[in-house]
Amino acid sequence: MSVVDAPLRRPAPLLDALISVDHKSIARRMLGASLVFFLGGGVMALLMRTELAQPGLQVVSTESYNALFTMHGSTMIYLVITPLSLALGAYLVPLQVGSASIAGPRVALTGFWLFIFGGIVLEAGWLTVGGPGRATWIGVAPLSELQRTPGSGQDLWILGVLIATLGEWLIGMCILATALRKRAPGMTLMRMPPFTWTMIGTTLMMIFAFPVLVVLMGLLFYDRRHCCLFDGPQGPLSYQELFWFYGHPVVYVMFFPFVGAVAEVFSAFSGRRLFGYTFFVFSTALLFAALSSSVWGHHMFTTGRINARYFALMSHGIILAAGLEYFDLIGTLWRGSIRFTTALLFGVVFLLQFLVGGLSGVWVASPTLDFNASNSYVVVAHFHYTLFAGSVFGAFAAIFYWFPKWTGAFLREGLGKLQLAIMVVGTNMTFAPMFALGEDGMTRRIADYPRASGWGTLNLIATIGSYLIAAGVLVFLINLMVSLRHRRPAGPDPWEGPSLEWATSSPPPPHNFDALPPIRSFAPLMDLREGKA
Amino acid sequence: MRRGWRVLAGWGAGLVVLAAVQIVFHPKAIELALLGGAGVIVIAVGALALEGERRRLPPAPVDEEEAQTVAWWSVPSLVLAFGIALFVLGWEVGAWLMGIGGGFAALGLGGLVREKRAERA
Repeated sequence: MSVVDAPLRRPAPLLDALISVDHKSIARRMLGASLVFFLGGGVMALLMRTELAQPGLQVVSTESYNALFTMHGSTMIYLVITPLSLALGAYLVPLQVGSASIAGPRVALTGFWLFIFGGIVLEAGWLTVGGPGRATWIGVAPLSELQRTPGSGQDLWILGVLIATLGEWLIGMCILATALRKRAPGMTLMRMPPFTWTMIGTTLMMIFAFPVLVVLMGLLFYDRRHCCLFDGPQGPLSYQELFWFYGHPVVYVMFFPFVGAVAEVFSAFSGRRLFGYTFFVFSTALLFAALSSSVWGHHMFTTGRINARYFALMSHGIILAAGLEYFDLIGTLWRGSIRFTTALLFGVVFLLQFLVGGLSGVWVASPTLDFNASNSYVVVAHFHYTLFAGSVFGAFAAIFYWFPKWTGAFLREGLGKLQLAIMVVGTNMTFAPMFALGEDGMTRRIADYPRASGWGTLNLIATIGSYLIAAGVLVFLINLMVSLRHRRPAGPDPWEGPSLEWATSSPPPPHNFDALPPIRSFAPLMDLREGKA
Repeated sequence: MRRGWRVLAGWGAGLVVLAAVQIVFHPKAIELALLGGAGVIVIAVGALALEGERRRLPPAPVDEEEAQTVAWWSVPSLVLAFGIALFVLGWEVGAWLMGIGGGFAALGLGGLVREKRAERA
């Protein structure tokens, strides 16, 4: 047994919320902040969908619509799903590798506050005279140049993205260093839990991708002030090359942690170790991450200025890694003693809905097909099936699974299943019609469409679906309040989980563990229960 | 030895290999440089991690392991983040805010160094 001493003193709750370097406190605050930003981004989505419910401009002007889609995408990507992934990692990786703390706790705290300040700066654009950034979530040049998007809102967008991304990068590096350098005795590389491995894949991509965005935002700001960095025929292309070198890996930063979370959920609720652990590590965490870093050019097929054959080949290579991931996850459930908890059901739906996103990814990964789909609602449907129907459902699986560990109380299962049912219907009502709209020629980022186009019915269905999603989120908020007010206590290991976080109290003490069980595999608690330890 | 460097070096080498595949397709320089450069950077981080692991003392036997204490709070971390944010915001607002931000950042950095020294002592 390795023993870790308890610390001597603890700050008052308010101070704790501001300056605690405990990784669990940082992660909880980050989760809370992500949820707040999620609600904000969700309201923006509802406004857009309300506008699109019928042809004509009823709710917002074209300018406001441009601001809404820019800020919705930016909020969800920079301030919700990326930090949510990192918050899960910051909370769980130290626990899963048996460490008392995160590596570089002060750096992680600095990163957290940079993320918060960045978020405030980004959203502060709403308070400016000309409104917030309106140049899409990628701040695409030359649209984002001063003469095309004047006003300080776009400047604040650039600076907010820069600050928040810098903070997220710092936290990511702390998580990576924890997994690689702060493992407990006995916790070899090939005994790390699947979730930790997916966090390694995630943070490996962050090493180089996030600094590229930080520098690019600095260059874009310089360009707005002093001109001409992204001018000329090559300028916008260079901007896109650099942006997508960050922009594609970040899609997987927002996805891998939830694959790992679902792997843990499947393992716990089927009573089985993850099937094909070694394949999972090498395919999902490492090969998948490497391929994801080499496909950024497929976002630029229609420019005709990139190496289409190479990027198409690499993009299709992802099918191999994704296939192995699916094989491992389904293999884990196969012949398991399955308990149909809310977490497991969210995990299953994640797997099914992400399949739609993945298969439509094959479409946009093929240059010839992409020329048809590019800039249409097909693309909007594709990435919402990956990031919302996939990642957000994976996030809810993670939340329902680890909530007892974070708070010592269960979320209500009945409300959870009600939320799931509403969200599944809402999600598919919202995003499935977009494939048909895109195929029919509806362009993305438009506030209005002609009545004669015949797109009204499908748009109305999508809008009703978006309100159903909002209702599902409302059920979750009610569940959160009910579960925290009328607590149903969870013990240290309520689900009979496989990995080390379940070997300590719920919530864990500040030093994480009083004692660690022997670690002889990637599922040490299952070993313990089966008498193998 | 924690051997975490092998993950970094191996994965970085993987990126270099994927970048090398581009050569078959006559790549643009920027595409080769971005992916190949990323691979080289990750390998370099792996080399740094290896060096770090070599310099560490071997871990004590498990039952005699020294107790670890956990730092509780850090005001300088918050001050540093605040300083950086103000400094960057100063690009928009003006040099005066950059000055204030820079001051806060320096204060935060100094505090972090002091905290680290106190921890070692």
